Amino acid sequence: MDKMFFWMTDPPGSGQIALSTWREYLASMASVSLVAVVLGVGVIVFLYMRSASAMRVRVWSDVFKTYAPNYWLLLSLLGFFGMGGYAWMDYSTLGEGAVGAEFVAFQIAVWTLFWTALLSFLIVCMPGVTPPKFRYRPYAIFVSGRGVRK
Amino acid sequence: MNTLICAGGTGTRILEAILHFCAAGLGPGELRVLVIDPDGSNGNGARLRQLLAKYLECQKSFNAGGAPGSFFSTRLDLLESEGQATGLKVWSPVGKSQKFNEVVNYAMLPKGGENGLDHKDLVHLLFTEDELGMPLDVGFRGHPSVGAAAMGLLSLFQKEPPWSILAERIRGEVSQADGSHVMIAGSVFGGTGASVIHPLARFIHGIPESNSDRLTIGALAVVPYFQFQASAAGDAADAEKAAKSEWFALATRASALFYHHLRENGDWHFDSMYWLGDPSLTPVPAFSSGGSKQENPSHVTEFLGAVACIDYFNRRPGQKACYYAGPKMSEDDQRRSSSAIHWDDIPSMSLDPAKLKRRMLGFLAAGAMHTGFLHPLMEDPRTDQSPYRIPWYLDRFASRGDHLGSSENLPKLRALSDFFAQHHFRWWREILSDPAGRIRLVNPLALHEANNGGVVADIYQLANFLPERPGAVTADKVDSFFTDMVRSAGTAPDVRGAPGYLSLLAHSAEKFTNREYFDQAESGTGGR
Repeated sequence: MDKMFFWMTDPPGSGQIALSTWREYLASMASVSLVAVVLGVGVIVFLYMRSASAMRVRVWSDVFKTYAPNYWLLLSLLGFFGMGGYAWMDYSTLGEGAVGAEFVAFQIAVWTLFWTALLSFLIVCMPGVTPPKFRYRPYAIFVSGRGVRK
Repeated sequence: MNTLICAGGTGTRILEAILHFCAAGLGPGELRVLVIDPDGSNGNGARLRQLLAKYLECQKSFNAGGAPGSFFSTRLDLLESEGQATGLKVWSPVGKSQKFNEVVNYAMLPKGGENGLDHKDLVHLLFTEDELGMPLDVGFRGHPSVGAAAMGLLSLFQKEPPWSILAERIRGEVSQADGSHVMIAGSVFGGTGASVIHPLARFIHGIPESNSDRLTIGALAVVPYFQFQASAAGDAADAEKAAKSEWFALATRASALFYHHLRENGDWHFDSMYWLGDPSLTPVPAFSSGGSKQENPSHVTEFLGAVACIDYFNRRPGQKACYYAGPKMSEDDQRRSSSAIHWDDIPSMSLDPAKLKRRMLGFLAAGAMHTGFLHPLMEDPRTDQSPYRIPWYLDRFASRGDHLGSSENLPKLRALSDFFAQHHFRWWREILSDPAGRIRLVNPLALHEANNGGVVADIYQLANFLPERPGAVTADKVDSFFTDMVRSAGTAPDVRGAPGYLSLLAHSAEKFTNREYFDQAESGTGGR
């Protein structure tokens, strides 16, 4: 599992923590991150679907309203802060040789945020998740230039 | 080919009803129309011209002519010829400034003729002095004898348009297997209609030089369905000379006896004859003896008359029979004593009432959605700046360079909005304005007057166009229709531009109507 953070091969601080301890730490963080990603994606997609299916187009100007369900993707930040905090605290218990805790925690938090946000985004773009009437709204930024009248 | 000849004010309003049916995709593939009315300037005639112009504009804008069953699909033949004004042909057997004595050339009638017969005395035997001196600028004013005499001169005009064109086309059609089918519609209690039907049928019957069995002639005889108070007119002299609704019953009886006489004596040129009326006699609110002020509101009898005409064109029953429509005895105790008219009460031999209802409701839903949602959306410049917000618009139009908000397409959408607001919704509103509230075809609360003189269909009642559907008034149905458009974008016929818009709108309206009105009806939770 420690291979998940493949770029963090050596502990920071040039050998002040035993390599085996470092790898155990990474494996533990990988497991927790994986659970955090799965839970995070599940919660985000659930809330997104509920929000999107409740959204209605009742008058023609509703078409131009901000697509609020997209905001649920920002919940990925909870994973960033949550995982980051947990990684920092757990790293700090590794002893006086555990230097660079902030940077280690930051990397793990970014990894969690990245996968949570990416997987959530890909899932909400799938047919059946976003209502057909809002098909292009999750990735509007990529299609906003299509079909525009010059 | 089908030909509809409409006589007088009632005939004009029946043609108006038929145009609405054609707009909804219920008309025949092709239809030739002609109006006979000495009072061509009457309010109903002006309204009909405006409706026809708007229908043709929509048909052209949306390239709709030809695809059977689609909106505005019926192609109209207006008997146009080179050198003549375009548009609806309204023919009159008399000149505008003529008096009746001039029509029969009274002044030149010989005093003594064969057997010493004084022709002028013969004229006096048939017509009163008032009738002889009657100006014919606003029609025959409820004197069918005057009109019949004028129509008897029809053969003098057979080499002039529109009759020469009509005759030429009928002769060409009877040489084809499909033949030619003529329907004459008018009232038999007024002036023009009662005067026209038989002489015209006789004239048309004589047109084919061969294959006369391929020519069928139908007639729609409308008996009294409205009444008015002549004393309500401001001009007493005008009221004095006008038709009087107290004479209608007598005139109808005379007509019925006349046609019975024709049948008994084998002088029967009709393959089918439809008799239609309404004993409730709706009061006409504003009386006028003729001219631009005479504009009677639309009535359900004219709606049923249009059904009869379309029925005839679809089926062309040839038993030379008369068909009558009357109230149906209902098995429902609550409806037994009611004279209410529901969709399944509509008499028809070929037009399935369920299909008629489905189409009309679909057309209403399409119109409501277009006027209340889609047209304003397309008018907003943001639509063409961010078409991704409307998936069907991006997929079917914008991504291909079609922009409904362009200067080329917006006028077409406006024409469609005008058709609905100024004509179709108004027509329905008048039909539903029955004083006794008998007409239960469409929910009258769904249509109301707009500030600009038109009529608006309440978009929040999209699923509530049928009466008696509590709980169906909701803005969420707009969302449902919008979703139907997204889903239909992949299945509706792939047509570009404004025609593609109308095609998508029609397809979505059908989907919406089938789900909202007919799935529920099948489960017995409402709707008829």
